[in-house]
Amino acid sequence: MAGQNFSNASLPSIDDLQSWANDQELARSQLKAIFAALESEQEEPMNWATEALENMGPPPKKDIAWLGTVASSQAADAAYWAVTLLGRSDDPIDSVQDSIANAVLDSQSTPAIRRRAISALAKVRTRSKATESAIQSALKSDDSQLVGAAREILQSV
Amino acid sequence: MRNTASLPAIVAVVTSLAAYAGCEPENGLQSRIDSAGYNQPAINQSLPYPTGYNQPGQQPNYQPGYTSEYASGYTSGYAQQQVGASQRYGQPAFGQQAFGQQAPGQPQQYPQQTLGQQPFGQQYGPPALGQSIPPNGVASNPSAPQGRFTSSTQPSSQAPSQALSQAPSQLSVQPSVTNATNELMPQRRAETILVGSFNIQTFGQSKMGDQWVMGRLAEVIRMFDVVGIQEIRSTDQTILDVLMTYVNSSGGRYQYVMGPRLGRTVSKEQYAYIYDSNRISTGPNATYTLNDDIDALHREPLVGRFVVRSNLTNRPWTFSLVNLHTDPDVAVQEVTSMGGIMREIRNWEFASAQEDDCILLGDFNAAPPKMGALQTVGGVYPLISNQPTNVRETEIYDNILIEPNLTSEYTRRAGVLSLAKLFKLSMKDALKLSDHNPVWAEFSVEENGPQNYNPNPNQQSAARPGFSQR
Repeated sequence: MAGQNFSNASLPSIDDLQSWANDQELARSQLKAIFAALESEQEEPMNWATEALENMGPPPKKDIAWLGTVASSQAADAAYWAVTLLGRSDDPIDSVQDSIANAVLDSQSTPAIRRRAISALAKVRTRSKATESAIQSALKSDDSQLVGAAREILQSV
Repeated sequence: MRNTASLPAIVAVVTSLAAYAGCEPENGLQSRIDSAGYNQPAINQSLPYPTGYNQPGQQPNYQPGYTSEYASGYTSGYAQQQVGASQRYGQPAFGQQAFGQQAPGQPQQYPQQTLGQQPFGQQYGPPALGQSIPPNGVASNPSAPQGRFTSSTQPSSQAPSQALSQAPSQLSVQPSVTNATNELMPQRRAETILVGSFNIQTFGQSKMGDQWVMGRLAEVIRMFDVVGIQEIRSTDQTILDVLMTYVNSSGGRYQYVMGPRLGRTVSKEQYAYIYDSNRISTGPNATYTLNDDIDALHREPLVGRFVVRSNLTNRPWTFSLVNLHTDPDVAVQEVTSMGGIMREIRNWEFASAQEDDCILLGDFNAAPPKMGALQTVGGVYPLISNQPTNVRETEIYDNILIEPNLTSEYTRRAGVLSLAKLFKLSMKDALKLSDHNPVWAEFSVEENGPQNYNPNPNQQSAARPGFSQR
């Protein structure tokens, strides 16, 4: 689903993306533009968007709901980075836990997305039915790392 | 969180490559491309499993001296411990040997010379005793190859790509390194080998098209005899050929070997080793990428085997480099997993190549205090412990790790090469090159081992290193 634009943000320049990759605060303020670049069909914007997301740190609180919608999208890289950023969040993510849980349960999700999603669910304080279901699904997985992450969630209670 | 308990389990298959697809392996090895697009040297399928080394899941069993150091010397306070190995280069405390901080009275083994003062006496051979190596890699040499490609990894039948067309035929970039480099890292010299690690942040099309950036990256690379590169991000697989045109623009003979594209998203990365072929050759079965069936690491390491070319000794140093770039979101887990893998790599390298000098380098996204497993399990110790390695000078991300008793070729000089200081740049301009500074360590050209390494002969075999479900 390359080319999908989640935010209607215009494609930033490489210079801007490079600046954001080297400045966490700038990157946090340009999250939607970075995701627009991530879904670019051009290689360089996509690579620099990835670099900016790797270096960004926790996402802004105001973007958590939006990241929840991206987490349940079918665009694999966008979903991967959305659940990764939610897993870094310093703010509560309970409000978007069902979207994260769906990323674990969705058969179209890559193993990498599932692992990042289950890690993010470890931050949920009050689990929904979908989250419980996602944890149980992870425990039955063939992916030993996913199983380990799910066990850690249960042990942390 | 990752279930790391099962990670050191062993796998029987090592994904390998001698040089990247389309490139002729230097050692003449015939390679094939597997279903994942990786080159696999045929030799690796027939590598005999040697006997007498550790089995999967078993604790390494080294000779008593090593075990003693391993158990009691470095598990805590590694920076304060003295190395018990042979002391060919003086006695500074291990881990505290940043360049320029040698202990008083430490013998100066080799004469320091000014940049460019003593060009190579031999045009294509190793330098002679006492000669320094100028920053452009070689002395001015009218008979040196002038073509764009001097690397044996040149894809001989490959049509010039868009990337190549961006490379200037007459490079306008002038060397800008000043004598200030003496304060940042040693010059290359005939008696020593400078090993580096450099994360060239998102090295792709935009940097490749910027002559200012490429010229300076080339200058940095020419300061090393061999440097492990991280974060090559380009689908154009001639990107290092383009870089080589800059590096070798004044007649150098740098070559490279590059690993496969790795990663969990569309944006993938590659490792590479760039080396001065006047001074370094690739060893047998030159490189291989660790197998990672369970996807334990975002970017599984690239192992490269190298041999020093030197006429100063009949025992040239041989060594293996392990190039790693961890995922920052799970850096500690990956570094912990690498502890067991590093032990396996060391056993495998010794068993299959009699190689005792395995050096782990790269961008760990973790400072030495978080490298416990690499030390206690992997048996390797960081050389950079008190200098930030990012350009902003806030974090120790990059490192070079050795087992000091075995790699006694280490001269006890290691450090960080500040890009800002090297080129007298503002931080903003330095960040155009990379967000990481290169790290370096110096070694003797003469092999000291492998007499120190004595795995338990009662055990059946060394396992090929890697991650698997078993």
